[in-house]
Amino acid sequence: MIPQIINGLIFASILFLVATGLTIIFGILRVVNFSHGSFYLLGVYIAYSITRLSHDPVLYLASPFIAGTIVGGVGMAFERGLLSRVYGRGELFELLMTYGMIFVFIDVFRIGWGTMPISDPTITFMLGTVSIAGYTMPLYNIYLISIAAVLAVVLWFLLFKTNVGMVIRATSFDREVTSSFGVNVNRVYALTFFLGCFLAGFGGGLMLPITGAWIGLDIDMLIIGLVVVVVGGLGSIKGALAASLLIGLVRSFGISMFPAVELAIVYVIMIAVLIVKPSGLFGGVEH
Amino acid sequence: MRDYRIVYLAAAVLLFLVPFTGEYATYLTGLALLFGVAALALNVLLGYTGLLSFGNALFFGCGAYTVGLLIKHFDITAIEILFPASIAASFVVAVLVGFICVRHTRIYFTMLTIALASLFYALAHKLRPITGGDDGIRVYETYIFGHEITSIIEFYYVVLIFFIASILILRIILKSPFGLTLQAIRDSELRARFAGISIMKYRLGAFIVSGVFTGMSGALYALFLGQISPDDVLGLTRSGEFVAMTILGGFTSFVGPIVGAFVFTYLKAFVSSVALYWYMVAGIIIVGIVLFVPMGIMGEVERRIRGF
Amino acid sequence: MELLKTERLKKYFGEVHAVDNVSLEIGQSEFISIVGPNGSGKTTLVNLISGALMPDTGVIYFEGKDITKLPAHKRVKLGIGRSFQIPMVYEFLSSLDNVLVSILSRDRYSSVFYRTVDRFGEARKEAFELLERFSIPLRLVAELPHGHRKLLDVAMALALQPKLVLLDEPTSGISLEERDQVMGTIADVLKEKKVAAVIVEHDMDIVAEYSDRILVMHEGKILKEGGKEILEDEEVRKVLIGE
Repeated sequence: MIPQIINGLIFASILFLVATGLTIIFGILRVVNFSHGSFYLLGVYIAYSITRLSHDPVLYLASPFIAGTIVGGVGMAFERGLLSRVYGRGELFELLMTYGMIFVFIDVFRIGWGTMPISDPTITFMLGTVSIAGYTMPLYNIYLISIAAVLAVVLWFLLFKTNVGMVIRATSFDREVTSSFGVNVNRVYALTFFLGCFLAGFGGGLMLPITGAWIGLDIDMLIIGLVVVVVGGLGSIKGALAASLLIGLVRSFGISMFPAVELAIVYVIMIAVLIVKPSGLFGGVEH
Repeated sequence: MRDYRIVYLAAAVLLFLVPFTGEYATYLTGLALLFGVAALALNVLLGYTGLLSFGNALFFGCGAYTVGLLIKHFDITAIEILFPASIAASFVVAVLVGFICVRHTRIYFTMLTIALASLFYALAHKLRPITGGDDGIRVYETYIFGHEITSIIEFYYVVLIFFIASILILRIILKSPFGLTLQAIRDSELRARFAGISIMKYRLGAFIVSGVFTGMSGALYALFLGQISPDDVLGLTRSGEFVAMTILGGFTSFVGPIVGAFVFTYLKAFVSSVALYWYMVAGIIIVGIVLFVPMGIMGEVERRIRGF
Repeated sequence: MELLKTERLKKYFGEVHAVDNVSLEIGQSEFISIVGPNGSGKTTLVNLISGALMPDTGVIYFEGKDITKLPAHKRVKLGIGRSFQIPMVYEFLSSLDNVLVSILSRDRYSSVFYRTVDRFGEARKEAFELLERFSIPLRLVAELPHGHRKLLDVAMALALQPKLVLLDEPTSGISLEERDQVMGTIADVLKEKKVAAVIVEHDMDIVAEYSDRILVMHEGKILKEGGKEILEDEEVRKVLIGE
């Protein structure tokens, strides 16, 4: 049981980071960022390049933060430079633009990091193992889950206890009213995109030692992220948390019990949730 | 109003003559014809009903796998059985999936179509004993009324007939009271409801039309290409290509998606043959259309014609 | 038997009692005006009767049949049509097609997918005549000015040939000079087809001229009802001028 739970929690942590980014960006900008999986993958690749510089464990542990910051910057540049030009033309065009970026990124990855899968588990050996209830497992796994949990708390604090968070949340309710209070909505959008992409890139960086990266992971991550967001309720961070845990654990147990159809189980859960509650677990009103 | 019948006739004659220019052009044009029908079917949802499906590969794959599975497991090689079977299969899938999807609009609808298509992708991928997994299924030695179709040229004409028939049928459907009602729902769901229209019923209808035509083109794709795999016929990229073609050609125009399918297919073949980075080009094209020609090629052409 | 009857209809939005215990009856081909200050619950009442909103409590009968739970599109089929305060029209269709959608739906042709619309000559002719009657030009709706869109919305409701039509401020946004003529045309059509009408209206001259009966609403309740003489009533005047 324990290994499945730990694996489930690792998966849930990453899903939470990815899905929260998606859901925050949707909540504020009303755009579903189709290139979110690509930002995740960019995070893995950047963490890989950073850790090529030196085999210092501190650098390994810092790499997700650095990768996240760079990815956040790239995301913000994309939002300011391209996406913001099509605001107001309808979600079709916003969606398509983020979709088009998936392909631009694919070739960026191929040119920058080649077509072979990469991974680097060095840090898991450096940190050693721990024993929980008689099961030995890498300490890094526990670290990953803890750091994601800490980040969830920080995020909650940022959004619900600070002025910046208040402005962001106010914008998600009503952008006209918010801008009439002298808030620079464009800056909120840029900041939101930075935050969302940071979370994706950070999650990617954390996964370098465990799964690594390969081309195709971008779309896999996007789809599973969308599933989490749909199950949790679009725009709801609480929903993203609950759905990440649900899907992370189900998938982990699914892999060990029904390996042939583990992914299908995830989709079946999604369909079941949507039939019972079309707006998702924590979704309010649609639109 | 001008009479464009002469343009259509000329296009039909040109398409008829394509096989005389060589096998590769025939192959490429055959693909463009099939994708043209699929893009047109996507536009039944996007342009006419106002629903963006990013999961239409689900139907394409459904048609293709119906053919593949029947050949692989039941040795059925008669196209006159395979083709109706794939129509039936995509109809059933469209009804089931539609029931879940059409309750939602806008982005929720789009995300659901992706997720449901991914479910089928995951099944095709993982149920290796049945579907062959990643390797997919080889489709060969098929017959039409006892006559074995061997050359790509013969197949091309089958595809061409399917293409012309589909266009004619879809044109009637979209110009019918049903088609007009879909456009009314697209423009104002509220008003349509107060015209006595049951919104869900019509959305489901549009979903079924879109699904069945996409399924038929998928079935012929399997026969035409002779090989199918989950990534090729069920992947998100396949769904995305239908959307890209439709936008490229123009979703406000009836012929737009067909034009888009042709331009996209030829461009993809050309760029892939001269450069390594087709993906980059495709991405830049999509971003470029969104930024500079949001109404697509035919939207732009029609605007200019009206402008004169 | 009355055409429409509501019993103790109630709709609260949180603390706001939008419609509070409204019981009313509407006879065959009766012309009823609802007047009252903004926020008095007129539009909410129209929304409840048409099925755009579901009441918290209360019952609605149409031709003796309980329709309280019936969805909007089915009420339309029974014969309740409506127009909107902000015109609801199909932007990217022609004005003719806008009306045609209603006519085809009324005749239960909407689901016909094997014949093009061109082949429905009768319906097209009817739509064309309705446009002519309301002097709406044949054009893409996105290019029509506000006044014409407003009329088109009304025409789309009347094209359904309802037994009861609910018109939410049919003359708002139409110039003062044209108002009389527009309302005259609407009233003629109503009389000709024996359609009962409930209109929400701010122009008291129009209310006085056309109504068989006037309902004055205030804070979700019916304050007074009667002929045009109630517009002179002290209490009613105070409520209406208070607006």
